Amino acid sequence: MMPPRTIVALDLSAPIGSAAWLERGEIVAEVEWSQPPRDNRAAFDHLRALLFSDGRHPDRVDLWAVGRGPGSYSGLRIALAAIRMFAAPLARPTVGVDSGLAIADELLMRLPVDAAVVAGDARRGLAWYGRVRRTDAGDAELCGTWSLCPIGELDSKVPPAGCGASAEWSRLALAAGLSAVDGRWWPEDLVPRARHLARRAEMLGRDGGPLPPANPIYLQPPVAGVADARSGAPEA
Amino acid sequence: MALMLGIETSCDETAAAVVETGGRIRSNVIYSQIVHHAPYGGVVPEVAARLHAERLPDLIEEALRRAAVEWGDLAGVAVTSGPGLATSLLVGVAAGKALALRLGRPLWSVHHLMGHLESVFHDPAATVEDRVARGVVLLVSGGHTCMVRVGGGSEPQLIGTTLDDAAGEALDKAARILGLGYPGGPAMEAAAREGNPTAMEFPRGGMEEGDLPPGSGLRPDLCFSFSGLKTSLLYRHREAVRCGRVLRVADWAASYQEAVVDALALRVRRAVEEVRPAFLGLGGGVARNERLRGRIAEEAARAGCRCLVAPPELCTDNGAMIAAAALAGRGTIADPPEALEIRPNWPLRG
Repeated sequence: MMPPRTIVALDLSAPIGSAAWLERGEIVAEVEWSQPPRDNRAAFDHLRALLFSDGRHPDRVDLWAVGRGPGSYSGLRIALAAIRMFAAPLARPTVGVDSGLAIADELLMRLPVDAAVVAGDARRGLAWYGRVRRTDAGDAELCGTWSLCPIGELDSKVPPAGCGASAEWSRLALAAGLSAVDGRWWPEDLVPRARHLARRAEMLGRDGGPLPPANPIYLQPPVAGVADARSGAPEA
Repeated sequence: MALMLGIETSCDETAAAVVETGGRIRSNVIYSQIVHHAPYGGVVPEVAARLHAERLPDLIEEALRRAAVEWGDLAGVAVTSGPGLATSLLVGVAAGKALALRLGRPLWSVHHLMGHLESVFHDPAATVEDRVARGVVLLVSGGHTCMVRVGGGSEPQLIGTTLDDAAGEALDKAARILGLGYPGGPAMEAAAREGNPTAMEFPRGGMEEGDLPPGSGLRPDLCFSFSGLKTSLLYRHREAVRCGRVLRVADWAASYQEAVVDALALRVRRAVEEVRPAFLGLGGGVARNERLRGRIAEEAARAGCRCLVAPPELCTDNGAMIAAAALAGRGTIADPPEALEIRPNWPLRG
């Protein structure tokens, strides 16, 4: 496959949705919006604007990237269905990129730390989290896997001299009893910006290897208390 | 000739189809999730939603391949926007919106039961005249049980509904009590073939005025209730086991199925006497039940009207009925497509 020149990325894993159009290495258009749970009107309104304005058209897209979480399961599924359908008519490839790494990219742009934790409320008294480190290139790399922990233990996952970040900080802080006063947590919501997904997708496409599938990351089994042998969800 | 893509994800079947104007089905692809829900004894919404997201895009492509049509050949996209499981509907509606946007084609919103209603007109015996004739249609599935009056130049009108369980749900629950597995409907029917339907007497679920929601406008004698029937089976079966009585599962299944079918047929008879239709229709997943098909045919013959039954392949949830419903005008165009919202509790009008 030729390295992709035009990439569209979409993330619906968090309360703020994001989509971006990357062309020849530059982000030429980007939209963000607030989305109530299960209401995707705004997402499609913004996608129409992104895909059909200023000479842009879906036929020009070489690669479609989607945020695969962790995050809102409904959001992940809507984004996946949409991206697969946008790509289908010209049989263009799709790729899944971890939304959590987009949050980490955003944090590392703002803060000179080398290690961090990205986290979110996983409901049922649990939090999801992933430890990341800064690579030589300056972007974030996941250390291990995305995992679950009791929400009360989340604060202990932040590395020494590191920082924690979330796309829904205020909600998580309340649920987990976290404080940003000592600088251990970034004190506002960090959006998993689609521009980071697009850049990561570009790198994956440039490698020429098989692209990671556009599958959502499900950390919880589909039925509370019952392991899901089928989904292949990462270990908690 | 226009080609419509139909998408259906309201419950535990992931489905897509391509249908021509006039109703010819070019492809009808269904992925049944039953094997994934069976360990839980019923449909698990989160399992269903995950499977819809995983399977639907490939299924849509397969529907186009089997229909031998290109994306640009589609004149529109039709999708079930309700009623159904919210998280499942979201997947189908998102796919429909994205395709409509991508292709620049209209997006049709279709009520799930209008799809089942449309499938009745795919009975090989159906004629063009039937589409405008006055009819009574019984729609029975695992999630719905209702009677609809159609024709006469007006919109389909709900004239009877269940106030608790759907008929298919009642059969599923009975199968679980009797240890027949999931899905219960086919298992009950298979067991019932070897049993005596008069071995036991079960209630037929009579309704009274006060049982209906205020302002429903429905007649209680045309409405259904299956929760008492299920409870009756549960307690009688439990008592029989406790007393060590010899149980013949086939007799339990036959007697219970007879009560379900009888309760449905009794309301249908009343509706037919009231409406005096030109035809009596039957659709939905439970319409595959041979005993029910036979009883509805008997009721039609008794009333001297035609009987139209959905073909077996269109009884379970499928995309063809959704596309065909849109082509037949049983839906509305979402304009713009992105404005379409799911309606998990979308009622039929009485």
